[in-house]
Amino acid sequence: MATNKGDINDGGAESFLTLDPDNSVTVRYHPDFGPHSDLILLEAPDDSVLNDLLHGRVTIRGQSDEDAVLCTPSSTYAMKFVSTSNSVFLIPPGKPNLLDPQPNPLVSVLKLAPGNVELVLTAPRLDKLRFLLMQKLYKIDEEDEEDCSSEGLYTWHDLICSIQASDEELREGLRFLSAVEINGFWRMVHPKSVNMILTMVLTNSVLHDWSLDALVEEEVLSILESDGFNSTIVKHCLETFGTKIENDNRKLWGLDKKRIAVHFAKQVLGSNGGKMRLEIFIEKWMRNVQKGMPFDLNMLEGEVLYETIGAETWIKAFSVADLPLTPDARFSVLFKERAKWAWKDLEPYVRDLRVPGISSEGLLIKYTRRVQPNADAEPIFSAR
Amino acid sequence: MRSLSLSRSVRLSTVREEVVEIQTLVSEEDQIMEIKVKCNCGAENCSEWAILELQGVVESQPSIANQIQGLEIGRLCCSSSSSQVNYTFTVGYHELSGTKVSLKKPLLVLKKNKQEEGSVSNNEVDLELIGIIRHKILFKNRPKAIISRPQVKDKKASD
Repeated sequence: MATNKGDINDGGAESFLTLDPDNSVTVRYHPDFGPHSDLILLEAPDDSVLNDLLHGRVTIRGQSDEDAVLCTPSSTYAMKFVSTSNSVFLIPPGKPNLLDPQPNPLVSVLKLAPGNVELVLTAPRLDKLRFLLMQKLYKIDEEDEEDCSSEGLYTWHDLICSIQASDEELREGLRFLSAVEINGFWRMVHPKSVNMILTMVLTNSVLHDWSLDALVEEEVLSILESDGFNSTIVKHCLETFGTKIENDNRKLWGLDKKRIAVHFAKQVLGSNGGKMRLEIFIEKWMRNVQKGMPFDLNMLEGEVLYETIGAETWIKAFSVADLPLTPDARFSVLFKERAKWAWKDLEPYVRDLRVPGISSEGLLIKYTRRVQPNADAEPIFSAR
Repeated sequence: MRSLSLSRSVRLSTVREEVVEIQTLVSEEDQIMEIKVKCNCGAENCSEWAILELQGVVESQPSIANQIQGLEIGRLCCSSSSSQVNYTFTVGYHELSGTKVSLKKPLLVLKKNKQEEGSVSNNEVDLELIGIIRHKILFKNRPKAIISRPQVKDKKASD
């Protein structure tokens, strides 16, 4: 191909568009007219995306067997090709060919476009992120273990190339998983290690009389470092269970009692599926949680389910954070767990579902069957 | 004798939608990285392309077949009547009338660039934004046949 198509500037689009009354142009096939399948028309859904496109802030992500998604810095769009039966003649820019002896300006059509790509706002595809990061959970003292390969470990760049989400949504996904960047790799931390560090922080606060509402970052890090704990991980623990407090020169952290209580509840129950009698659970939970820390069952919404077995109530670990993010997979798992759900039990497990263009009611209608025997009875949801 | 004409059956436009697979944007051997959409023009300097759109298909005479490069398609004229600007596109014996439409959602012209063979980078593809289309001239009315003077014996070689 002799001419660089980026430089085609003899199409005459300008003359075509500025044609005014009582004038005319001749339209012809460009000497290079052809399929030009390397030219694609993309529709910009709004000004924000248009701006991102014009400033080079857009990328297309995914593996070769996946559908293409287009990502701006903050949003993800599915790409759909919409073909048309109309004849869409594409005219390149520039002044028409001046050497032509035609009396009228000459406008040249380079290609007949079969259609264009439309962008549809879509939820980021983040389920894969958990799958990837679960391959190698970070464990304290893992440096001592023999396996030093970086297989199953992912840098930010690796994640961008595998996960179909915008940068902002990817970061949010990492925050949601409480992932932390260690030595350039993004890692989820093994629950046992999380527990070990949190327990160390709490034990040390009692020992050194630290206030859990205003832990001094420096102090915490130095004490735990001397106990052999990686400061990145300790800081991550503070981020996971606390909030930074703005203070003049010292960095302070206030721990969230609820998050800590939930953590210990999960420790008592074990991972998903672990269950025990409710009274036993409460007794153990009380022992684990430190004195003075509030705890009540309402904190465990979205983390546990209750079952009545005979005359007893049993409690079981079932955390919404471990469930799939896409609605169809989510409802499938929920109905596998329980065929019928009362709304008050179901709500904590669906309230985080977000699909652009569909409301939460819409999702319920799409994925569940709702039964309400009479106006006073509670609605019951089951699989469609 | 006109070499190009509009097909007789002018159908209503239809659209068909399908998903874009990454495979169509890159070739099979490419290792998938991120495909950046480069734009060297910036907002103000983006070259403006244009579209002429009509219902139906422009056909060429069998003798011409696919050798249509450079061939004239038709003549586009502009006229105004009572505050409306009209366009007339004459193809062969058909005359179409249409209007200029501003695209609510502009179209961007992207070009697939393949890195040269033998370059150091692992055969990456990128897309380059080379133009924007904000307006098109759309012809969606039925074409009018232009009846020329009846030619009885001597066929004039005009047009």
